Amino acid sequence: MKKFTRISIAATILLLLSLQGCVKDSKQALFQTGDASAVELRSFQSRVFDTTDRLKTLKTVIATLQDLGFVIAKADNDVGVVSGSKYANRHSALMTVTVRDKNETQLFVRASVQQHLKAVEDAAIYQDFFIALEKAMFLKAHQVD
Amino acid sequence: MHITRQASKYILFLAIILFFSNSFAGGMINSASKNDKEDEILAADVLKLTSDSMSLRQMQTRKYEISDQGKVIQSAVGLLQDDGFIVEEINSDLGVILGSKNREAVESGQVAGAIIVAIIFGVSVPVDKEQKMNASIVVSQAPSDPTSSIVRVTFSRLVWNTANELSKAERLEDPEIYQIFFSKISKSLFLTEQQI
Repeated sequence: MKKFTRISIAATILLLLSLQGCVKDSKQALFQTGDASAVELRSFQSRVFDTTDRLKTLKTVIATLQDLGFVIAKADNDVGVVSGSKYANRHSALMTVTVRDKNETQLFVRASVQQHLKAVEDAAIYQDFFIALEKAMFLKAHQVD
Repeated sequence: MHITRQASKYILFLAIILFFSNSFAGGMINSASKNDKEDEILAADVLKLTSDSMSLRQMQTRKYEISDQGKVIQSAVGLLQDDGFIVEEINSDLGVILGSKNREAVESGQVAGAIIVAIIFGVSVPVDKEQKMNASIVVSQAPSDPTSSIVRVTFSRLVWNTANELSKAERLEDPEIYQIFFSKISKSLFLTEQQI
């Protein structure tokens, strides 16, 4: 009997320990961010292109996403937004790309990716996208200052 | 009598093995190798151009000698409707169309496999039940040729099993699918042209 109690106490402690990784309230995810700061995130996710042709840029973004295996789910040229999803079983990803005027000679492109129920904060993944986009645009992607 | 009973047992066993190896193993191996292919994408390579990106682009793209992209979009929408797709999103300025349809995804091989597993091991295995199939079409002007339009389509699907879990999320990359689509769109373009 005593032995049984001891085992059950140990089991309870183990169970509670295993719950440590869980959040108290999953609604907190609404405004939760990852490890990267907002400034860092913007620097991974954004590039500037020396063009003012927004429609052409949006079309090139769409073509690039298709090359990368994305299904284009939404596109709006008034706001300058393209969203898509790439189905790759457990590595599936969702992505939104926005294109807006930066100044009289340049456009600003920002990409945000979600994968594995998280916002992607890996600079290399965004770099892959901008390398592909640069090639398709025939233009250099400048880092945002 | 005894021999007959033993023989009939033996035949039954053989039949189960045959059934198992044909439909179940075949089906499972097919889907397993397909999954492996999809899973070859490493999580970090999700936005990387691969060596087959260009061949996929070729497979998914056709050029039509029509300058009016609005007409091509109309034809594509007509074709989606012919095939039972619902248009979820459309943007004529960017030439983007997204169609989808929900269909059954029950496959005989999987079901047979699940039945056999249930008989032998006494456990129920979830099998694929429903799927959402997507067709993403983008119509654009051919580069350096304003008299032609380019159509690129990509098909993909999400599959849910009887436990309501997402069992597959895959791009459909069989060349035949695309051949069928483009031969249909040629016909559809003709129909639109003829105002039928």
